[in-house]
Amino acid sequence: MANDHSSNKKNTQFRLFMKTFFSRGIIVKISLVIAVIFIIIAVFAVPIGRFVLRQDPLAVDLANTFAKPSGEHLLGTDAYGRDILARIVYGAQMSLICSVFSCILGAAVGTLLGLVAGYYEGAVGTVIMRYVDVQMSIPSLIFIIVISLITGNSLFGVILALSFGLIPNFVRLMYGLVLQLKGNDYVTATRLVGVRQAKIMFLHILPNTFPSMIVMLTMSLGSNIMLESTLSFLNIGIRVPTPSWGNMISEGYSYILRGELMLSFAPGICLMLVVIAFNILGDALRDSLDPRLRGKI
Amino acid sequence: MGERLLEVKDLCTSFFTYTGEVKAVDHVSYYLDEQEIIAVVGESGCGKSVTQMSVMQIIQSPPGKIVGGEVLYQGKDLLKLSPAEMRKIRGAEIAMIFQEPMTALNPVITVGKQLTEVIRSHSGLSKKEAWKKGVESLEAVGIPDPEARMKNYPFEMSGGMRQRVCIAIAVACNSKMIIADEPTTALDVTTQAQVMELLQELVVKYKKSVLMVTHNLGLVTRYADRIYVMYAGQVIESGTTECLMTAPKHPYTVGLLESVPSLDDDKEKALVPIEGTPPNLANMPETCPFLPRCRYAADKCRNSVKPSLRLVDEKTNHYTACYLDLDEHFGSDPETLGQEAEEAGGQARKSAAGEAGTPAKKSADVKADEQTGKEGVTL
Amino acid sequence: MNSSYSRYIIKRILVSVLVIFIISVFVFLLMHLIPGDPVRTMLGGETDEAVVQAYREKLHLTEPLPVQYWLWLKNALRGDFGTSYALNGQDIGELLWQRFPITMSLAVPCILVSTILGVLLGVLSAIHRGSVFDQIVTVILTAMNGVPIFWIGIVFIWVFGLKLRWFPVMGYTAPWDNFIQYLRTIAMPVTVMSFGPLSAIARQTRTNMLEVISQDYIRTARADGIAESSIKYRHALKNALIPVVTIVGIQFRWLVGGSLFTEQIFTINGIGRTVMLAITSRDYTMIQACTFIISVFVVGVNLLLDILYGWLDPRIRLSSGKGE
Repeated sequence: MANDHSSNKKNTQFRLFMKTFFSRGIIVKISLVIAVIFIIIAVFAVPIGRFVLRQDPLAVDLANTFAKPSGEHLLGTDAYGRDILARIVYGAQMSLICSVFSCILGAAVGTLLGLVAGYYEGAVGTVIMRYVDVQMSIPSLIFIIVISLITGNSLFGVILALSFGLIPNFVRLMYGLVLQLKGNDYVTATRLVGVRQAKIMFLHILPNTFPSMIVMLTMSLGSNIMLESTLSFLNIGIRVPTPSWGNMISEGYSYILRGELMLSFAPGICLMLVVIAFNILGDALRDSLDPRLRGKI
Repeated sequence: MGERLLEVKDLCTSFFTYTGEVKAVDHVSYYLDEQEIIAVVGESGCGKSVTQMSVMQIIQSPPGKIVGGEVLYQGKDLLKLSPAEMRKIRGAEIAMIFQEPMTALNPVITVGKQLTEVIRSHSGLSKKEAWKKGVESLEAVGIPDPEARMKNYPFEMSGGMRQRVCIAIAVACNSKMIIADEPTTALDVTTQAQVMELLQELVVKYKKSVLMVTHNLGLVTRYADRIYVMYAGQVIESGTTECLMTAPKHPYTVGLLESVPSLDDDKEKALVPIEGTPPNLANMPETCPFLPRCRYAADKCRNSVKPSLRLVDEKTNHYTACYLDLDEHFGSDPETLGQEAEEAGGQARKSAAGEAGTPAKKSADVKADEQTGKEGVTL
Repeated sequence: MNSSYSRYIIKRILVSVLVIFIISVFVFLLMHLIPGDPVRTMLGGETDEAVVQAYREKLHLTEPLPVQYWLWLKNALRGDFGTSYALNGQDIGELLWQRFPITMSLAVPCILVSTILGVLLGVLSAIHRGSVFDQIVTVILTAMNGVPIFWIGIVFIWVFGLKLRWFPVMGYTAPWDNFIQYLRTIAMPVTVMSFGPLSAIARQTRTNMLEVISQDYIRTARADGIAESSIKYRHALKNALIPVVTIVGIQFRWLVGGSLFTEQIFTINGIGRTVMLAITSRDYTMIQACTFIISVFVVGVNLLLDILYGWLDPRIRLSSGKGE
C-alpha cells in the first residue's frame, strides 16, 4: 500500500511537471517538435541522404551551380553545384555530434571539479574556483578559439575546445549546489553517522543536483550547436568541404551580394531555429523542475 | 473596552493552484473592540496569517483571492473599497507587524527614509516635519538615540530593535489597530517580553487595539483578553482567555494546551503532542476536519458533516465547533477546574511577572490549571 | 569611507591582480602549447633555417621559459608587444592603441542601450507577470539570446543595407569626425551586438524583480499603505538593480566575442577584426597581445563594477565587518 501511495505521488509529480512544462503554450510545443526533428535528422543523416534525398553532400557538379530549388534539388545547389539540403542534413549530424559529445565531456569534468571544490572547501576548492575565475575573465569565445588553435582543426579538437568552454558553468553550478546542500540537515546527519565522504557526495548530493543539471545541459546543447557553427564560420572548426552549418553560412555569405540567398539563409534559418528551440526548452524545463516556480504562472 | 472596531464576517480566502482550490480561510468570523487585545492561535498553516493578510488585502494575487465575506472596520466594509481607498486604511488606520524583523524592512533604504515615507504617504507633512515625527515615534517605542538611528540601515540594528522600528511605523501614523503577526517568534525570550510589554503599553497609553497571531500560548494567556483558535482555515473555538484556558471545549484546544511545557509544574507531567498532521486544505473532508486526530471522536462525529460554532456560555462569549461536551471526558466538574485554576494562577503570575521585569497586565487573565494544562512560557 | 569597504576594495584589487597574472602566464604559454613550431607556422615551411633562427632569437624563444616570460611580461606592461607579422611588421602596441577606441565606440553605446532597454523590459515584464506582454517579451528575449550573432548580422546587412538601403553596409566613421555619420554606421553593428547583452540583462532584471517582489519588506511596505508605484519603482527596483551591475560586467566579457563578428561582417577595423586577422593568419604574437589586452580590460571593468556594487549595497559599504 505504501508502494502504491508513492507511485501515485510520483505520478502526480510527473503530471504537475508536464502541466507546468507545457503551460507556456504553443511555443514550447513547437520547440519540442523542432528539437525532435533535428535530432532524428541528425541521427539518421546518412540513410536520409542516401535513400530519401538520393544526394551526395560532397558531389561537385560544376555544370549545375546555383540551381534554383527543383524536384531534384529541393533547396537548389551551391557554388559548386552541391545539393544544399543534403549538406544541411549532414551539417545537422555534425552539429549534434560536436554538441552532444562536448556537453558530456564538459559536464562530466565540470561536475566533478565542482563537487570536489564544494565538498573540500579548503585549498583544493580555492585552486579550482580561482581557475574558474581566470577562465571567466577571458572572453569565452576567445578562450575557445585559442583552445581550438591548440587542439587543432579536427572534429575531436572542436569537441575538446567546446567542452573546455563549458567547464566553468558546470563547476559554478555544482559548487553552489553542493554548498547549499551541505548545509542541509540530512547531509550533516549522514556525516555524523559516519558515512564515508565519497559516498555522501555521490549518493546524497549528486542526485539532488540532477534537476539543475538537466536544465544546464539543455541550454548547453543549444549554445554548443551555436559555438560549433561559430568556429566553423571562422574556419577554425569543421573544415570545408565537410558540411557544417557554420561553414555553409560562411561560404554562402559572399554570394549574398549577388542575390544568392539560399546558400547562407537555408543553413542560417535551421541553425537559428534549433538554437532557439533548445533555449526555450531549457527555460521551460527550468520553470517546471524548480519547485519554487511551479504553481506560479 | 469600547466600541466595536473591526468585525470580520464569513471571510473566505482561497489559493488557486495547479493542484486545485486551497481554502486557506474558510468562513472565518471574529471581532475586535477598541482597546482590546485578542489572539488568534493555531498550528502553522492553519490560515491564521492568511486571514490577517486578507483583512489587509495584501494577499499575493494570483494565486490568492478573497472569495467572500465582509471586513467591517468601524462599520464600513473594507472589501468594497477601491485599491486607493484601501491603501489609505493600511498603515494609517490598521498597521501590521510581521514575524521576521530581519527581513521586514527594506535592506537598502535607511530606517529614517522608510519611516518618513510611510508618514508622508498618510499625511500632508513636509519632509522635515515627517522626519521630526519619525524621531518622536522611535523615541515612543523606546529606541535610544533616535536621531542617529534614523540614519541607520536595518542591518545595522538588532532583531528586537528592528521590531521596535516596525512598531514605530505603526505608532507614527496613529493607527487605531495593530495586527501583530507572530511579532515575537523570531526574537529571543527577553526581547519577546519587551516587545509584548511595548504593545501592551500602546493599548493603555495610545488607546490602540491589538490583534496578535501566535502559536505561543504563554504570551496569549498573559496578554490577550480573548482568544480565537483556528484549525484548517476555520475558527473552531473562541472565548475569553480565562474560559478557554480553564475550560476548553474543543479537543484541539485541549490538545494545544497539553502540548505546552510548563515551568510551574512541580509534579512530573508528560507533554502530550497532538498526533497526526492537519488535513490537506486542497482536499478537505466533509466531516469535522480534526476527526482523524481526535482522541475523543465519537460515532456522531464520524457520521455527521463538520460541526459549526455553537454557543457554550454567553457570559464568557465561549463558542466551540464540536459536537461533544468535553467535560464528560475529563470526568471532572468545571467548577473545581476553575478553582484549581485560580490557585495555580497566583503562582504563574508571580513567575511571569518576575521574568518580564514588569507586572503582568491583568492578573485575572493569567490562569493555569494543573490538570488541563498549561500556562508557562514557551521557550 | 569605512574600513570594511576599503578592505573589500583592496581584496577585489588583489584578486584582480592575481587573475591578470594567471592570464598572463596562460597567454604566454599559449605560444608553447600550440603544436608544431610557431615560428615555422608563421613564416611558412619553406623559409630558410637562418631566418627562422633569427626570428626565434628576436622573440627570445631560445632563452629558458621563465626568462622568456619575464621579458615578455616586462615589455607587455610597458605596452610593447612586438611587431605584427600579419601586418608587415607594424608595432602591435601602437596598432591596438589606435583600434581600441573604435571598438569602444561600439561597445559603450551597446552596453548603454542594452542596459537601459534591458532593465526597462525586465521590470515591465516582471510587474505584468503572466500577461500577454510578459509572454511575448520572454519569448523574444529567449530568441535574441539564441540567434547566432554572425547570422543575424548577415540578415541585417541584407534587409536594412541591401534591400531597404537605410544604413551603410560597411565602413566606419569616428564620432569625432562626423557624429551623424558615426551614428549611421554604428546603428546596425550596435543593434546586432546588443542582442545578447539586452536579453541577458532583461532576463536577469525580471528574475531579480520577481524575487524582490516576493520579499517580506515589500509586503511590509504594502501593509504600511505605501503607494503601489513607490513600492515597485523605489522599494523593489532599488533592490533588484544592484545585482544587475554584476550582469553588466559579465556582458563586457561577452561583448568582446560579439565584436569579433560584428567588426568582421561590417568591416570595422577595431580590436575584434584585428583578433580575427591574427587568428586567420596564425599571427601568434598578435593573438597573445590581443588576448592579454582584452582580458585585462574585462578584468578591469569588472573590478570597477565590483567596487560600484559595494558602494551601492549599504550592507557591503557600511557593514561593521563583525557580521550579524
